[in-house]
Amino acid sequence: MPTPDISVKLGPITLKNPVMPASGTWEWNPSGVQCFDPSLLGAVVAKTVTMRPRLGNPPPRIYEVRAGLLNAVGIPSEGVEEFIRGTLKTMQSIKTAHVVSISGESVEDFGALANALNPYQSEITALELNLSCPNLSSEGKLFATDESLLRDVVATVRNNTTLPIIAKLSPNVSDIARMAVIAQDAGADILALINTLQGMAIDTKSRRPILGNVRGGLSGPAIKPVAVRMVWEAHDAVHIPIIGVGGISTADDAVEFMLAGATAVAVGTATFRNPMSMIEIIQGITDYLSEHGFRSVHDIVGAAKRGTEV
Amino acid sequence: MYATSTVVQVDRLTSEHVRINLHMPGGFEGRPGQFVMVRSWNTYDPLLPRPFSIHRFLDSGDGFELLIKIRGRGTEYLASLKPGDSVEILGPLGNGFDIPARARRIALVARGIGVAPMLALAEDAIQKGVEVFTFLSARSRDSLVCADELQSLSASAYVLTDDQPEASGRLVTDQLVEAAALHGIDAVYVCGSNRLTRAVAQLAVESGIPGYVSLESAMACGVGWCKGCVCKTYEPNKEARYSCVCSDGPVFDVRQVRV
Repeated sequence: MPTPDISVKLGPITLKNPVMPASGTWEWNPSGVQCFDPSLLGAVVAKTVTMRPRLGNPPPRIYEVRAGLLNAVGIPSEGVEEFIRGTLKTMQSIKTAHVVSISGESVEDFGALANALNPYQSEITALELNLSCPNLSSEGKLFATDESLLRDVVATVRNNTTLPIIAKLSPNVSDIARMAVIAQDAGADILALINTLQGMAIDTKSRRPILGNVRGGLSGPAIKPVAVRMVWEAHDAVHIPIIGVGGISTADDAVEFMLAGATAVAVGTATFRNPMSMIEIIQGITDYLSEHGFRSVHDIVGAAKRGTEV
Repeated sequence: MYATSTVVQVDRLTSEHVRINLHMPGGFEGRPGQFVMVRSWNTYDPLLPRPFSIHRFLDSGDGFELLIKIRGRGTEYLASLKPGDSVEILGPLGNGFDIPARARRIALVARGIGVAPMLALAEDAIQKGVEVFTFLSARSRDSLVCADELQSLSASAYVLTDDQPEASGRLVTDQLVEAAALHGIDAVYVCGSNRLTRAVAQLAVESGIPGYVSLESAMACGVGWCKGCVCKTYEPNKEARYSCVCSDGPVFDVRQVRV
């Protein structure tokens, strides 16, 4: 049995393997802690960048709950100018795909960011839209949870860039398939789902909310079944590829997302638990394909829908 | 950097404190004031590793000790470890304590479990020929840990507990100010108390004695990726910003933080 091919075609882009960090959970910093060669990853994903510098939310920003993590970090960012001058350059020494996550406070903001990054065609493989943030121009509605805002923001980014677009969808909606179709029809090339589930926690001693921002996003193993279900539903509804995200801790978790319809996966909270998680997952996917006689990741994408032969 | 350690010994010091001696097969070197992310569980509850300052480096260069206060699920797991058990370690992490090159005498100020990073610092200072003055406080005599070890390393040690008003009736902070004036302290290191940290900051401002505080925070990654463990830091003529306790600290110039 030949070694399986773990490269994946993700719409307009090709990745050497299907594993990448979820934005904001892993960084490459030559002077900082590094447990492995980042060029081994299918892609590196930069922390979400905004038009202007942002401080982020007041602490406490994180709180561990059962099998999960609540976070309200609030997208601290150096701003796009500094990002282009510094981080984008240092990313180039990593020999893999470079995904840049962007977030705006308005539809126009997203358009301006896409426009500012569009010239960097050879430095950036794809733009990921972090849509789980409020639109300050429409009473703080979230881009990812409002149909017309989602359509507008993806279409505006589409009009401002020729870079491939990954739309990262929120699970905090009643019909994920419908949101997936809206993002696809507005011009997204790839979908990533899911972002964190909204939650909160209260300290029973002080009788106050624990997070500085009161509400936070829940990640980690606790949300995995929700994410698998949403990938399954979106996969039925769209023809563009999906990056599965949400509580993936092991290669078996990653394979489960692929069987539900994901072509690639992003790993977040698991990296905090074990900084080698992504590398172990890449190896584990290879082993799974090999053991079960598959030649490629594509052989198992959505395979759980085909019946029982898998 | 990320390695599996083996538990050599676990000592129960009080009803709520344990000291754990860990062997790192590949060796372990670091600086006093640095910390490690520690995980001894494969469950999803607890989920993430927990940060602990390095209590003491082993002379053999292949391990270290942690001093841990039991206060939740993670620390309960760690307290139940037995010799031979495996523990995942990421570290050493963070900046650590600096002893100024010309320092002759330093003061260590700690309350409760804030004493954890001080033993490594005291041992390092002694090795560099720097005299150590120790100021310890704790809620009660029962919750006082590591006092004997630090006392034996110190030129002088003041130990006060809240349940011993007869000790002298004086605050640790008064003792510190008096010792600074009497002995000429070149740097002060504080951990474990906002009140003591403010006193050290006041000393830094009024007497120009450099002060360093080791901050505690919940952490997810421990290495600056998640931006979860921030504290606000202040520098002259600059806007306040959020710094990561893990990667910008855990040790800060005491004038940079407001506690």
